[in-house]
Amino acid sequence: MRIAVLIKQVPDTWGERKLDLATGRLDRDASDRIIDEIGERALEVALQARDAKTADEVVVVTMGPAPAAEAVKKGLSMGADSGIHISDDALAGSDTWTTAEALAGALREGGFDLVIAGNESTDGRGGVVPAMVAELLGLPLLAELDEVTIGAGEVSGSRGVDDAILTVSAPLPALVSITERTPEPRFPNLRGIMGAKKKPVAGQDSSAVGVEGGAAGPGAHSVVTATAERPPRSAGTIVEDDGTAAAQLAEFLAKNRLI
Amino acid sequence: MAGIDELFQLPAEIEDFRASARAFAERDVAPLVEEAERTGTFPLELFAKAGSAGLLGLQFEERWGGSDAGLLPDMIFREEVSRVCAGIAAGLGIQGQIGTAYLARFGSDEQKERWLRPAIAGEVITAWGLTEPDAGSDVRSIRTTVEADGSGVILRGRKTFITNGPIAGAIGVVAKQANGKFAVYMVEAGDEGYAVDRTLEKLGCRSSQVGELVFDNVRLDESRRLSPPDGSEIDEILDVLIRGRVLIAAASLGVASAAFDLGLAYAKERTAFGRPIGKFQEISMKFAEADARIAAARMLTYRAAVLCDTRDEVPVRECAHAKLVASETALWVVDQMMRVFGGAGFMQGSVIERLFRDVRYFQIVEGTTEIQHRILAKALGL
Ligand SMILES: Cc1cc2nc3c(=O)[nH]c(=O)nc-3n(C[C@H](O)[C@H](O)[C@H](O)COP(=O)(O)OP(=O)(O)OC[C@H]3O[C@@H](n4cnc5c(N)ncnc54)[C@H](O)[C@@H]3O)c2cc1C
Repeated sequence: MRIAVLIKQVPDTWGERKLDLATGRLDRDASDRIIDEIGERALEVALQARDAKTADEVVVVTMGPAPAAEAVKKGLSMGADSGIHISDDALAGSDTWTTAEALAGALREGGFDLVIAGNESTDGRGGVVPAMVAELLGLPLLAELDEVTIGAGEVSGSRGVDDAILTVSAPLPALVSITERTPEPRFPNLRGIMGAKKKPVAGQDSSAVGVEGGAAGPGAHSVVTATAERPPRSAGTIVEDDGTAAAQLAEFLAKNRLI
Repeated sequence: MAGIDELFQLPAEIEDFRASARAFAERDVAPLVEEAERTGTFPLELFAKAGSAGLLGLQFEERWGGSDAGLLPDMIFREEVSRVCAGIAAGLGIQGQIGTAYLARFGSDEQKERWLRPAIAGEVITAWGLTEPDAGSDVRSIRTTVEADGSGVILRGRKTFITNGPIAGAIGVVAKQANGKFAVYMVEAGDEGYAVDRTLEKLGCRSSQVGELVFDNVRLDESRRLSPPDGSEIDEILDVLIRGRVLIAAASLGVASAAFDLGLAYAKERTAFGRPIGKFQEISMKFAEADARIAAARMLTYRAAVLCDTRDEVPVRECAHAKLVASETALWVVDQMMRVFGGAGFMQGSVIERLFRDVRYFQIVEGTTEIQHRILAKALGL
């Protein structure tokens, strides 16, 4: 069984994240770049299947500018067998649909039995790419799984909704997206780090994945019309307890419709 | 020729490995520290966790589950975990160095299968029993003995200050033979006549489990003997441990940087006389001086590790330099940072207060500061 895992390089959530106000895009240089943790969890699901010998091969797939190669390398250090890195200046600023088209283009001929993705990235937070890729590839989608079981010809799992847990399954090939409830990802160990250098990474440009143009190109389906910096936080109100603090707090909560 | 920065830069893979070691320390170790230190208990699940993350056998051969990568990554692992907790780092650190180094060097394949593989996997906790109530620095005068008995030996004696002793499944015990030479035997937790006399309460590194062990006529067969048939000179046994000094140096660096980072944050945030205390010259100089001293200690430590990995002979002097300078630097830095914290640092439960207690460990173990002086003086022909 061949599993593809979609990973994305994002700014570290522990650092300060900034939007480039001129373009409305993420300022990728403003903070450290890491693999989105949800992508690492998706990879962990795949690696556990390989550890259990259900899967034979795990391939990490990403689209992103040149530095995203570090994310692919980290995926390989964690244990993926090979990587695909889609990178092209023409794809800079791609919207979610163009991104999905590029990923689907890279996956289409890969002979994958299963594609695993995180439910949403911590930067754009669109949460739509997995569904779009599934649609483009004509695969059944099991979205937002908290727990995944990969079998010989089938994938299943559970999804928590408001007051129930749904158990869902689909025949392979399929695409699943996972949530933060799946197991914590492993750290790359030293052997993995040393071995990553020797693992193959296929570079693909926009024509290889059959996509024309990014933000400005005919592929764009959405445009950012305006951006604004988040207003600075205003100073809070300090309630001195002169015996009426409880009443003041209750009034504050009620006024702000918090109770 | 390589530029000066390239010469002194760690390889990219080692820096990547540091990210993993730090992630382990911050994600898996940090949440357990407060309780472990307060109650003086070791979170035992960390052995298996570190084992499955490939962190316990960094120096050992791949066929036993190790990484065959030398002391350098082990040093990074020790430094990073010590930043978070010196006690837990000590317990885990035994596993990849003093608890197993002699076994890895002199054990047979069968013996490595029995103890080294599970130690690397974190399934069996190991310890190294050398020190005795009446023999610490002066290791030659140990009184634990082995006496031939049929096809095996009988082990008698008492060991003290043994890290992991109370929780260990397998302990390498150094004993004197009738011929005056020394031998190392593996004792297992269930062996008849072996007992943990007591777990010791300590000033610092309280999460590490350090104990006094008794061997009351413990009968051991040949499969437990690691040393050559005739026995070894004590120096041959100690040689295997010299590299471990670099790990104590690395642990010292971890504690020094933890104290430095805490102190710096406090100096920027705490105000007195209308300004952050870090703006007072006398406080800022502490950081300037500490920054330079930590950098110097780190350079010596990393260099010693690289020399251990690249030279056939053990770099005795460089290991002593690293251990001496890093452990004393850590003591100095933590002391300065205590002053930065004022009264807050004197209160129980503050992290700097724990570091102040923990840092005293480094000038004692694996050769005290005075013993490092002796080694260096001897090397200088004095
Ligand atoms: C927390 C902790 C964990 C430990 N873990 C282990 C372990 O896992 N396994 C193990 O075998 N041991 C362990 N030890 C023991 C440790 O190695 C010894 O404590 C150390 O070697 C010093 O021996 P000692 O305590 O008997 O001090 P002593 O040797 O009695 O020394 C007392 C003082 O005399 C000085 N001194 C001694 N000889 C000389 C000399 N020739 N010249 C100048 N000064 C000298 C020393 O530097 C020291 O200041 C541990 C100790 C501690 C505190």
